[in-house]
Amino acid sequence: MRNPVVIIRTVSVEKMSPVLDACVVRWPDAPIWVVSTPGRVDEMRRDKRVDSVIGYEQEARGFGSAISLGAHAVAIVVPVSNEKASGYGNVLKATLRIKANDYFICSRCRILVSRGKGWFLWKAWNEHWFGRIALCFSGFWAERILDAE
Amino acid sequence: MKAQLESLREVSVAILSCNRREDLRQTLTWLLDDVAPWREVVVADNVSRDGTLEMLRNEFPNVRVMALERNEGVAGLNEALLSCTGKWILSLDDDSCPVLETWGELDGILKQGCEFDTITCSVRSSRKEIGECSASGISPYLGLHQAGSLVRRELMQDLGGYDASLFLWGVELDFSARALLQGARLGKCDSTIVEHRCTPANRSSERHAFYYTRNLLTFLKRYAPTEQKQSLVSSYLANVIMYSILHRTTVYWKGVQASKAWKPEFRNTLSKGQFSRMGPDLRLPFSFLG
Repeated sequence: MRNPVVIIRTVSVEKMSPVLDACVVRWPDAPIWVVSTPGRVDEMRRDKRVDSVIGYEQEARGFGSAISLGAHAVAIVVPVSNEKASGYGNVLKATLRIKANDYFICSRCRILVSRGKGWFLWKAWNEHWFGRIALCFSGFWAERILDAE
Repeated sequence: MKAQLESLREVSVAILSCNRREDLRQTLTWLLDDVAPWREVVVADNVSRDGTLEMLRNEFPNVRVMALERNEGVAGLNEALLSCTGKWILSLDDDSCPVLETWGELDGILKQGCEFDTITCSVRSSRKEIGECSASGISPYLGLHQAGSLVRRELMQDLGGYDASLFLWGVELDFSARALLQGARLGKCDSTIVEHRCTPANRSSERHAFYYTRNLLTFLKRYAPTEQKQSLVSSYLANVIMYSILHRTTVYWKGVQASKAWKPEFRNTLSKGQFSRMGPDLRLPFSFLG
């Protein structure tokens, strides 16, 4: 099985079209998998550029749980409507279990932009060293808070 | 003509509203369907400035309105909840509404008599995403969703409603914990659906992020099992650090500081089993991007 490109559909189906085009150009040999809310799964399946659609259980607050694929992805692509958004923290956390070589923010839903802060944070988080550093500080912080009680 | 859901005669509906006139109009339009003979519908309005009160007066004269003088968050909802007269109280947000065609099973359960003290519905974000629902009965569920749960009136009154000092956000967690500690039986009916549209208005604000952070940390300080408290608080604060960097904001930190300065009136820890079955969602309010 070839390693897929995984797109997290965080924008409307209409806005997905340029994202899919960009992915086909960037990774012509990789199958494209789209992670979507259950209500849009059929619509996404009809798109010939998409090889597989994975529905996730959606809670009112967003992702119900972390997304698992059982495959190593070439890249995770997260389209964002707002160029200046910080990489959508909830999406970042929901994708942390996906093993992937790369992480892209798709700015303005048309071009795969520099990986920037989203990639850096994903990498740091995925390799756990960011979390470990934060946990060192937070352990000390928690102790102080609970001692003050 | 469709058959009425007779058990709803014993159900009062309480809705908290604030500056979401169009959402509230839609909610009430769907709610006041002929099949649902609610005992009463009460709207507590937290000083809306968008004409909500006029809309209620003109278009929904049968809805009991409690116009509050100040926005004190969930204290307003408490006024509505504690004034309800039904055996059960359905708590809704102004942008949530029961999908009545899925309420048949719960209707049957309520008619026969229900052993649970709270029944949380399956809260979905969109009517379009509702597939077929098979009957599932009520199963134990240690949680509550303010935007779609039924609570026995006696329990609501015993607990004095939601903790008003929390203001808003995360109040259901606190309520669930207090109900559990009181020995209440909490359940969920998966076949009974409430649509919660999660309108973005008033949601991704700094105020939301602040209170959410403060209240979740306070929840941990109040109720986390003693032997796990340190690690749970530490892990929560690690998220505060990481998301403060990710979102380039100090609001989460301010929430933590507020929780430190604020001494809860009571604390009573849950057991490890209760806490793990409750599985509180200890996420930061990610929708706030700084």
